[in-house]
Amino acid sequence: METDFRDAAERHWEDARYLVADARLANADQLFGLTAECALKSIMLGLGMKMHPKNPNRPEDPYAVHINKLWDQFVTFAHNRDGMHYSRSMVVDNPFVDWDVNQRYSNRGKISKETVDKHRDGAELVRGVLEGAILDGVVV
Amino acid sequence: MNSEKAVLFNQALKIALDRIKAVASDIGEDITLVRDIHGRIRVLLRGRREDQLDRKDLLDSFSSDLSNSLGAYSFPPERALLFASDLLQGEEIIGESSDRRLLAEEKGVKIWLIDRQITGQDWLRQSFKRRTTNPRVTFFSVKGGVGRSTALIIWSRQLAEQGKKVLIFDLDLESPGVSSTLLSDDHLPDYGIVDWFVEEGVGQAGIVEKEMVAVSSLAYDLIGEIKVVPAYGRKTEEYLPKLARCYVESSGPESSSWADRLEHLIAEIEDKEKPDLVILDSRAGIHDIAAAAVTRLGAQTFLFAVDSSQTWKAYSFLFHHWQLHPNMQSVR
Repeated sequence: METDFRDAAERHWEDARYLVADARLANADQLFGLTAECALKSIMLGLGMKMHPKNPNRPEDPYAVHINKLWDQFVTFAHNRDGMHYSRSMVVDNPFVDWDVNQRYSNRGKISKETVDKHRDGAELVRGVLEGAILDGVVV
Repeated sequence: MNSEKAVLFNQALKIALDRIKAVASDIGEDITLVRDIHGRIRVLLRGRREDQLDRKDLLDSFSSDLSNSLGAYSFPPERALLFASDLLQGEEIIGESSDRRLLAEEKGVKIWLIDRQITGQDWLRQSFKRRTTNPRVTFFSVKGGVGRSTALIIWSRQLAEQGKKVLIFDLDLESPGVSSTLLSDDHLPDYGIVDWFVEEGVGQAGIVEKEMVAVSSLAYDLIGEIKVVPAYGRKTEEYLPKLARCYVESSGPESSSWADRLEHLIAEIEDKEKPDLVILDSRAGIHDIAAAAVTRLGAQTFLFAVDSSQTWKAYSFLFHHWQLHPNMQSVR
């Protein structure tokens, strides 16, 4: 199946908000993390990130990671003149450092409202960065 | 590629405008063109993509037409239209306060342009609302070696003779000259403008801010004074690595345009020094420093030139661009 990070970011975001509205926080939290991950990967592709030569759905190393690690990778990746335009608003501590893709196997009671709010804010920030990249034509 | 059929940057905007005018009345709402950092053009409309069913045929045909007309400056048809709902702040982006400018009006439909550029945006932006009130004057030349800095020094001395407190900022960071002319090495302050931009970027402006103004000996015998904020100071040491970090557009963890940061620096020092007049020695040429110093800091600007065809050609590029300025009346 063809990878479309931009669309994936958007649908994860829409679904996360849908779940929050219904107080289903644990899965919403997963989707906020995936929103940010997909949004950043769509920008990184536009800035020249390569996909893995043997797996076209997976970015090349070291970018095939989730948002708990990708945030800082992005800031390092987008250090040149074109990329700094996007990374400059992300030079803050990674709000997803406590997010884990394996949370999907854990009990729903483990995810607090504060954690979800923090991850929603992080996802919103990254969506703002993505918006600039769309207008710039970096993400088509 | 067939060069006869190729669309070049020069033609793309006009082609897009012609295509849009042909359907403007059918679309029936303001239309915003977005020209991306490569120069590719697409259209941003209000509303949501999923609400366009009743005019789907019109928009599909328009997307194809635009895409087919613009060659290398096109997007594929399915990406040639953006809707405000595709963007986090879509409605604000096409709102009154955005960076867009009016290109044309066709049958009551306004056609706007949002020009996304890596550099040079400040040439067409408005001045900041300042918090300090002293006058500011920018010395700018589109070419170097035309006597700009010399004139600045002579005028400063004349003002000091009249008893004025003059404060000069050496913004010619790539070619600092005024600093060394007005301040001998032993009169330099500890730090300069490049130090401020680096330290302010990590939230430490206060440390260098106190140590970056020095009195020039040029006015020692006069009733007024000339103070200088040089590009570098005695303790600057690694100038090039600092210069390379000056243009970062963040202030601590906050995103902040370079012009905003410069305005902040100047206002902070004006607050402390209370000068009668600030003179900004802008770097020469069409560069972002000059864009900020000439158009954004609320300064009167003197444009310097020698009477040569190269100089006037270079100015003509700038003047031509300024024809698009939203406040053309104030650009004199």
